[in-house]
Amino acid sequence: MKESKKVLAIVLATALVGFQPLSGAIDYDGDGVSELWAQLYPQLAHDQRDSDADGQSNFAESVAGTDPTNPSSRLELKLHSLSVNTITFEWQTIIGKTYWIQRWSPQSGEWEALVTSPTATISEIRQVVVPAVEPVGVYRMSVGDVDQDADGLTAWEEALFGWSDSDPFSASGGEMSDFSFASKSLEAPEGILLTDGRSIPQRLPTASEAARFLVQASFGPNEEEIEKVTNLGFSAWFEGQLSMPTTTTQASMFSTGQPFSAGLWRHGWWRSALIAPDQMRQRMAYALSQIFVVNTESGTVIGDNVTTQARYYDPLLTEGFGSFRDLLEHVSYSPAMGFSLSHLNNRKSDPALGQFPDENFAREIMQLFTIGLWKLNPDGSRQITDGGLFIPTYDNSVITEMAKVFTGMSHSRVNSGEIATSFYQGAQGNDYQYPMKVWDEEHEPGIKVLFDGVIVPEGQSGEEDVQQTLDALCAHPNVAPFVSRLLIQRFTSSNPSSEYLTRVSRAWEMGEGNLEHVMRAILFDSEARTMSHGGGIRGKVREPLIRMTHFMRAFGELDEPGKFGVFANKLKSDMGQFPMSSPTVFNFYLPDYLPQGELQSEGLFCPELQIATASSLLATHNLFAGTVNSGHWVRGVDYTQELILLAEDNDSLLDHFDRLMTYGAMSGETRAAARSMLEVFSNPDTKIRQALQMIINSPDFSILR
Amino acid sequence: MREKQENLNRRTFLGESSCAAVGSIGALSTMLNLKLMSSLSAEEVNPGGDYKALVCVYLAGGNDSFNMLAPVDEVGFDEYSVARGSIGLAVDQFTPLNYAIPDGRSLGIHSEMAELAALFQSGKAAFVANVGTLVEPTDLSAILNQTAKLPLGLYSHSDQEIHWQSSLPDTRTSSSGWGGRMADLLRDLNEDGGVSMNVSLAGTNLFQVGDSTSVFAKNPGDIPGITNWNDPNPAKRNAVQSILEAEYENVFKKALAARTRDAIEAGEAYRTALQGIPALASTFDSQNPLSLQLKDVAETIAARENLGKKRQTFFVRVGGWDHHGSLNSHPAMLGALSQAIGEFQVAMSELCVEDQVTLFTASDFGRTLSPNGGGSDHAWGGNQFIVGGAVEGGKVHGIYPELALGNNLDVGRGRMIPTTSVDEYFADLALWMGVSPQNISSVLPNLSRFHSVVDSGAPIGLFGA
Repeated sequence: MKESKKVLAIVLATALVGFQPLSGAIDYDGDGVSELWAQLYPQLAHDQRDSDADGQSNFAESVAGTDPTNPSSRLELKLHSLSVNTITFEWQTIIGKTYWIQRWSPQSGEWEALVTSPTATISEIRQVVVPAVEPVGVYRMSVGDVDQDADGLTAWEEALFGWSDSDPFSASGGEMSDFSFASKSLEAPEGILLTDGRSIPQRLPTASEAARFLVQASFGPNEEEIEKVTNLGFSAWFEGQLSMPTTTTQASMFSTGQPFSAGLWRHGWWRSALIAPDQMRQRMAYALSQIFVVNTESGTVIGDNVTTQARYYDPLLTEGFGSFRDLLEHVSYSPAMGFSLSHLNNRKSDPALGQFPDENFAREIMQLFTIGLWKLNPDGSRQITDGGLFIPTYDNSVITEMAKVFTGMSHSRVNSGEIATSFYQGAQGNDYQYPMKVWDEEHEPGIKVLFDGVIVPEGQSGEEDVQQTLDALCAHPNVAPFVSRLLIQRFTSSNPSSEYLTRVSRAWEMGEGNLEHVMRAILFDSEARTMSHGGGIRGKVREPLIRMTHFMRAFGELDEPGKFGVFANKLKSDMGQFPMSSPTVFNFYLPDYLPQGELQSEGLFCPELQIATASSLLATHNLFAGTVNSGHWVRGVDYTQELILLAEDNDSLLDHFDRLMTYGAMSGETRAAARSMLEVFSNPDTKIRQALQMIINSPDFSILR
Repeated sequence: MREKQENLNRRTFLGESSCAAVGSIGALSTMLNLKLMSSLSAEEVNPGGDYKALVCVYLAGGNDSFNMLAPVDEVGFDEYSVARGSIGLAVDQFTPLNYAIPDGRSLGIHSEMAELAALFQSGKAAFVANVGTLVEPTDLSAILNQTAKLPLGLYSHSDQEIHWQSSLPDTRTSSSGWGGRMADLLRDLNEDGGVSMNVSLAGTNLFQVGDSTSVFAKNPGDIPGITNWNDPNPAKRNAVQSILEAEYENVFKKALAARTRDAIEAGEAYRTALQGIPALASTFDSQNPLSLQLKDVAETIAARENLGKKRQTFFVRVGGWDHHGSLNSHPAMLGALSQAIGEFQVAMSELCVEDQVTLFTASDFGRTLSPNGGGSDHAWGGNQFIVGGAVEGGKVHGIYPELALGNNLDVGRGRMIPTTSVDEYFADLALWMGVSPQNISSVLPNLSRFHSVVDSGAPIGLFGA
């Protein structure tokens, strides 16, 4: 080992590049600059320009947290002193920023980390001593952001808000995540007074940001809804949606102007998706219907009764932002679910006949509705034994035991609506409107040994057995990550990071399974709110059905009462999906579907591509093109006079479509292709239709990122 | 759907091409011709292997197959009736096959399956008894001791469907199915390009996904295509094409654009190939969804030369077999299954490919012998059948189990431990398709846990010894 020598020369450099992409920050437009910083310097371009001519670009100063308008505010690593063996550096810290001192290694040809200096909690002149290894050294400082509590806000942002970067719920004390709170704070009309004494003005979403938000949280943006979001802000729109009266399918189907038929519920659903003001609730119920799957296509006792369908679906709306436990109870007692998963009229064992309880619902309530097959960590990853094996949440003996819990369930009323007096009377009935009742005469007596040592004791009533079991399922640690992931996949991302899923699971736990909190956490997360540019792996292929409603909401004639209807069977056969029409309880697609090709080799799930066959892809293409031309059902498309005027200028027209269809993120490829096509046409109406036919079938429109 | 020409490993090629008939060489691609001429001698080319296709009929939900094939002799039927209780059928609901298994019991087929019974009697259909997913050979004591390695997610629909299609029940992350891996080996016998060797009439599925082979999934009666491309103005078509051909950074955009391009290309190739193919004289019941799928299969087989195919697989699917609540609809479903397969065999005969096309069934699992009231629950081993002129028919292959509850295959409620693994079942099919014994492990990696093809030939003998 070489002895240390006196330091002969030191070269100092300052590297003002963030060491990581700004993933954990409030950065709606995804430009790598915190919206907080952008609000502090709203007039500046956040790029390589250097407005104060201090040698550090505006973008670099956003990373360093220094003032881009003040040349004396810049990050500078200074030599404080030298000794035989050590070098002492000093610099001015900015609260919330983290600093690294690096040394150039001629051997490796790379910068090597010497010191990571803790995230600054005060503004000070900080000194750091490093060993002097070689007589000549080139040193530099890097600065960047950290997000220690993984709540989607950087330590710098949290410091300016006055919150802690070691607790993701520090702002509200548990009500909502710091990211949600930050989003809300940014939109406060009075602005924000930061902890360093500066204040920033209110920041409302841009039209593009609002449109992107509505792609996630509604059945599609239109002018009116975009304006609401840009006026109110994301948070106030969200809260307003929560408090809005529920548009039930029971009410909606009788407002369609369609004659009574077995298809009326589907018309009602379509009407709600297109015009109900409580859009977010409608999206949530639709997402829940893809977890608690019941098929209501015609030809069965539930498919042919529209009231039965509404009685199943409407609680998914009314309770969609309530407690998961309540929803699970609704689903478990619903005769429509009882019919689908055959626990309706499920009888206790009869040893003489060699007869056992039906296991269907017992299996699927665990596998698909609550806890899944494998024990999970809070981030959704599977727990692994020392031997490297996954741990099943239950085995078949638990299923046979749980099947006993769900015995004795039958109709609570007879056909006339009269209260039934016994299992046998209920079982003779055909009334699917009212929740099932657990009749003790056909309920399996005795103890039932469930998962993880949960014991349903002897001597309880059937009702008590079922209630205890539903409680136990909802108390299982898997529920939060398992169901949260399914919901995230419906709204924002097919492949949420483990951090994102952890945050949503945590909101689930803190809200004790209240789905309002879960939905807030899903939408108000850096991973959902940050527009991803380029080759990101977040986002998803949008459901074809939601692409269809998006177009109809944006361009359909929305204010003609008595004209709602839907060719549900055509949508189902062309796109492979329609609400409440999955062929099996496994929904239209599996959450873990890995499409062949690059997605598979990258390990990226893409449920929606499971229904993308050669036939359905091109049938969907044709359906969309036809819808652009002539609408759907008797509802036409309304290309307004304003739009016709816009069409005189190709770029204005494309800007308009970009905002309404692709939330301002239309790719250069799509725009160039559309522009060159438009040059061929001169009739404004033709231009509108041709451009829209192309955009509606573009990958830009089909993918949410 | 484009089939990429791969570098042929010489050994692989010799193995897989042994069924290619000399007379068929003219139909192969030029590139393959050259390879054949340079690498094959006359005696290595096995005449009769001209064209072959496998049709997988997937019975989604778990067919209650012990009500499809049951003992009808006095002792056997009595055992059946006791085990099945309220869901057991009367003896006259079975058509005797006049076929005794080694233990002396004679079997009958559900009386609704007249076409299948006739095919069995004429030696063109056979059953495979008590087949199911297995990780390795196991028995009741190992299962009770919890020392057995068992398929993951046993008795669960989604897992067992994946395992039946991948033949890899010890993993939940299979990225390919055994039909796809087989196609990876065999598709070099086909001409390049156009429509994939693996055609599905029932959507995406794992069975046909290979490492390099993709699936052409179309709806029955549909020729996928973009209808509004007949616009005289090419500007729109150019615009759509340039959007689909753009180089996107985002993986989802890339994937969707690629799938759409493939669909357009394969749809056009399919349309072209079917032009000029005379309509089938054989008829299919337009009210039977399986008939409609199999009609499409027959039409695609009729166009095999235009499609440039020497090997094909087809995937069709019928749902609704998850008879928990009641078995009331089961007989009619078996009837519809039999009817559609009968129609298909007539069409194969019309096309003179009866000996070259083999149809086989697969299903999630068998069902509990004991009832849950009106229905039955998820179980394990079940009975399947295969149909075709090449089949060693009129036989029940494998071991038809004892049906008394509590026997040494019963893990509870008549959930039968399979006595034949899916690997063995599929190995017979893959070997018949022309996969060489040396390469069978790349199609069925777990097969060697049950059987050595190199030492002992086909595991079951579905196509004769």
